[in-house]
Amino acid sequence: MPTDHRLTGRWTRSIGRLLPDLYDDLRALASRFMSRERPNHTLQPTALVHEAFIRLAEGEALQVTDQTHARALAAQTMRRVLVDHARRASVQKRAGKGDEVPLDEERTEGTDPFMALVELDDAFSALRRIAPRKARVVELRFFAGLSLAEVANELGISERTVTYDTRAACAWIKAEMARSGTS
Amino acid sequence: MTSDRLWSDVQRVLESLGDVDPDDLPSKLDALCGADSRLGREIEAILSSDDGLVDVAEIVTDAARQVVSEEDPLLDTRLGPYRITRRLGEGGMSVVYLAARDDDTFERAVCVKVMKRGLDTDALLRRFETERRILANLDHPNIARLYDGSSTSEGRPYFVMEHVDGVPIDEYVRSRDLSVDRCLRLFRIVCGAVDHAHQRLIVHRDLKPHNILVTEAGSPKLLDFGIAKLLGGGDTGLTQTADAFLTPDYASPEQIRGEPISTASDQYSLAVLLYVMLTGRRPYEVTTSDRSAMERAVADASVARPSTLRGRIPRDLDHIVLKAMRPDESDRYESVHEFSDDVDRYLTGLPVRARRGTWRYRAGKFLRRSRMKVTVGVLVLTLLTVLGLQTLRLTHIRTRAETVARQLSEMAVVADREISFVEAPSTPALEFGRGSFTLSAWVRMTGRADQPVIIMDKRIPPYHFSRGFVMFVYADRLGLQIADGVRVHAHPSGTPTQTTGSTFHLGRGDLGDGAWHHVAASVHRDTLDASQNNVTLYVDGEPDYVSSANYVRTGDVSCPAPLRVGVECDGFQIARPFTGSIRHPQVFGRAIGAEEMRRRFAQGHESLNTDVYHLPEFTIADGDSIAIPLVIENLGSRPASYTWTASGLPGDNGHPPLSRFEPASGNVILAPGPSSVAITIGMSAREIARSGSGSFQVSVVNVESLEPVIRSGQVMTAEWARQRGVEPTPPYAPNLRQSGTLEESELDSGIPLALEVRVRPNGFITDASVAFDVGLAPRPMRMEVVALSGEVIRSVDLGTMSIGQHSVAWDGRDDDGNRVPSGHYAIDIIGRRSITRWDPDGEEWIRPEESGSITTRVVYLP
Repeated sequence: MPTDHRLTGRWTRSIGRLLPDLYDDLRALASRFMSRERPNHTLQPTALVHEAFIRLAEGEALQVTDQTHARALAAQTMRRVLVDHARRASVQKRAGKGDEVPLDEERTEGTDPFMALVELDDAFSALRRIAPRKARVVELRFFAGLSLAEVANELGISERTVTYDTRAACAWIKAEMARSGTS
Repeated sequence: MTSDRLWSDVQRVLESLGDVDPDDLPSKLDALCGADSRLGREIEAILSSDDGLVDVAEIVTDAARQVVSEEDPLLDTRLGPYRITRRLGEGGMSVVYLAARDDDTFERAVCVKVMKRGLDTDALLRRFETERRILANLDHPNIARLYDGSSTSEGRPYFVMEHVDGVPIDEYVRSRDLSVDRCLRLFRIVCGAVDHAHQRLIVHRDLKPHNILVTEAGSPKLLDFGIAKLLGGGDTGLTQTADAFLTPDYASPEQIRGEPISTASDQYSLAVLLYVMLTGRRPYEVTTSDRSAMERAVADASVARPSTLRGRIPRDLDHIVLKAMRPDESDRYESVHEFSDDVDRYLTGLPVRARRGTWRYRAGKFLRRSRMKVTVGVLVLTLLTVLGLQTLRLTHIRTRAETVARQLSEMAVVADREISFVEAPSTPALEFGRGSFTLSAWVRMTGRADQPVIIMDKRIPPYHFSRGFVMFVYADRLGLQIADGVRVHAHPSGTPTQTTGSTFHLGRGDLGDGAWHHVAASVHRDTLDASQNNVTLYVDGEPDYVSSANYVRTGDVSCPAPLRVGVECDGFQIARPFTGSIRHPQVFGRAIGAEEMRRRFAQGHESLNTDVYHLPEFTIADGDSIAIPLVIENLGSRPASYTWTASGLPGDNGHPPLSRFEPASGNVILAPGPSSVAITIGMSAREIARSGSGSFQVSVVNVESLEPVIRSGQVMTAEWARQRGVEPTPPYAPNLRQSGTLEESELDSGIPLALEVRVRPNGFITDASVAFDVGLAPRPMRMEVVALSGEVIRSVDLGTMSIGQHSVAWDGRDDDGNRVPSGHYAIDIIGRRSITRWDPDGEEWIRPEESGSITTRVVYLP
């Protein structure tokens, strides 16, 4: 991948320019559940991820040193920033609740997007130990929003493998989340 | 087997598969699942479906959405006196909120722009402190006001600005499918606002559709004036820190190169804007974010001529747009004003300057435009010879050929239109600061095309002025109409002294084109208590200058050279002297310094009133003069004070002085509830008939809140409507017409200024007011209302009136307090002038003349 000197600057600036043209695949995917969205919701899901990232990364002086793996780093950084935030928010939420734990807490937490993301990331971390390539595929597709072809190009594998990896990884993550949720 | 059990098996299989190659999958699956066919099917189903993918994507997206939609910590908090109520949007550098200033007495919506972290707050706020006064003085109806700037408790800088409810101008043009002409008119209003700022040496730096919103009423408003510079850091211009908000599609080449920004950069951005407005397309797309690549892209971009992209765009506009878009600043127009002026020339049918082409082109234009008979044409050529020579003698900048060509075009218009200034004659004056001057007056007047041309050359001996000096020239005393303006020369023999003021570059006027320009200059002071102080504007160079009023000066000027106006004042410090603006339709209602503005804010002097204005469309008949009927509803519970101006009338075309649109200055107090008001402007239907139809704008300013509200109206001639098969709008009710015929006084006689008042047949006069200027010295004044019979039915002693603009009202009653029936009345304002005047014949100084410009306003109740 060519050196992208734009990434040496502040992320808040360059990330917005780097990412928007990388998302066709995830956008198509996203359209499937966008129908459930409020009709006036204007932000596309992938845009949401970036938006969330930009907002969270706003104050941080993020520096990218390894320019050869800019995209992988982008994915990793975006995941880390988003998950860190979700983790902090979940902890705060739990701490703030104090004694008043509602009876249906479990269900509430199940629908809390931050909790869900934290659980997903836990499962993701486990996956990375077992199947590192699948984990990278997930990271690139869902956090950096790369298309099938781009992920294949990035990792030097076939598109078919990417498809297969994605499906297997997602199924595994779901199973892992279900398992840890009930244990 | 439970589904839990199945899932753990599935997971186990997937784990065992690891990062297996798809080709090896079937055999590996067989080995792992063995006889468990259900597990095998499940795995196959998983690997052939995107269901899991959607779930994972959804979890990520949901979390992201949660971040984005998380309660903004600023919402419902207060920043200074402003309560943040809603998030309006977000840009690369800032988040914009709707906020209300909620003191206990009033509430007003403002827009608060909170900068994101990562900026040097201290440096930014320091810059803001130095710039705020300049920015706060950007008092223009088409520029959103900047009210305040400070920092949040977290140290993030924020700016408080006027909230504008509108759509980006490109969207406005597209959604309304505006015609080329309407685009151009809208664009000229934008140019007017930019020019206004340029005259104050403020460059926008980031002009683009998203910074120019058009309100429902069709009035454009420019946002973020000066913000780019604040962010960019003082004189360094747009450096790397400013990179984030550089808008490459609209940025000029020098801006992209990071070179110093000038007004020419704004001009370039405006040209791109005009291109987009006309064609719906950008001249080029900048896809890269790399500076050098961007620069190359802009430099190499081959820009298609607008006329090739959309029908109905004439070649003239190609030349205009592309001239303002030249890569080299020096190839563009001298100023945005000149750019806008050339657009106007196109609208008028004059040869555009961008196409300073062949004789054939100009002649073609001339012939198309001109409806004159050949004989008149010959006459114009005769006039031209005389005028051309005179112009040549006076100026030394333009070549004779250019002058002749332009005189030809201007004169053609003059003759074509039979301009008559009889209805509201101007009283041009030249005013100087103290110092020793050699003053020579050269007065040139031409009659109508069928009357002889008289050129008068007068010299006035040197005189040492201890105070300002005003010279008035009366054309009607000579039995002439002023067709081409009055020129007065001043040759200062010494340098005028300045006390605390300084000289400002006002901009450039048109060289010897005989057109009248409007000049408005005002001085803002920190204290309003300066009744005895005098501010003098003096002119350096060879322009003609007209002044009126005290510290707010407006007037008409025809200037043959770059005009510099200096400000001199005694007795007080100039806090922030204004430069003036040439041919700017703005009329300053009041001069209020930024500090005074802030004081009012602090004391909660804002008005409680919400105001609704209705402006109708109407048709006019030939011979009518125009008054704009206007219904104002004062929704507040207490009376409110208003002032207003009108501009943009059809037939304007820049030729008649805009100040003649100026309705009565000063204020009118309106009680709560609807009121009908007519604003009279001195245009005849004949003049309007040149363009037939058009729109005008009335800007009504609530004096307490100083919020100008602009409403537009339409006017068309009956003939125009008929020719185009347009259903004429209801004719303008003649009973609301107020025709003010002003007659200048004669020398020595003390004959007053007269105003004729006509009211509707079956009504009483409820209120009539007259506005006038008092010149250099306070003097006793009297108002008399005279019936047709000549009888003075009402006499009011106005006392000694100070220098400045005044307005007096007649309540429609006679001396005994009875209401007078409708009819014709004259309102005379009688005063004594205390200005000395040199009488060259008698070689002595005489004092007793009476003069002044008078504008009228009549107020009716329904």
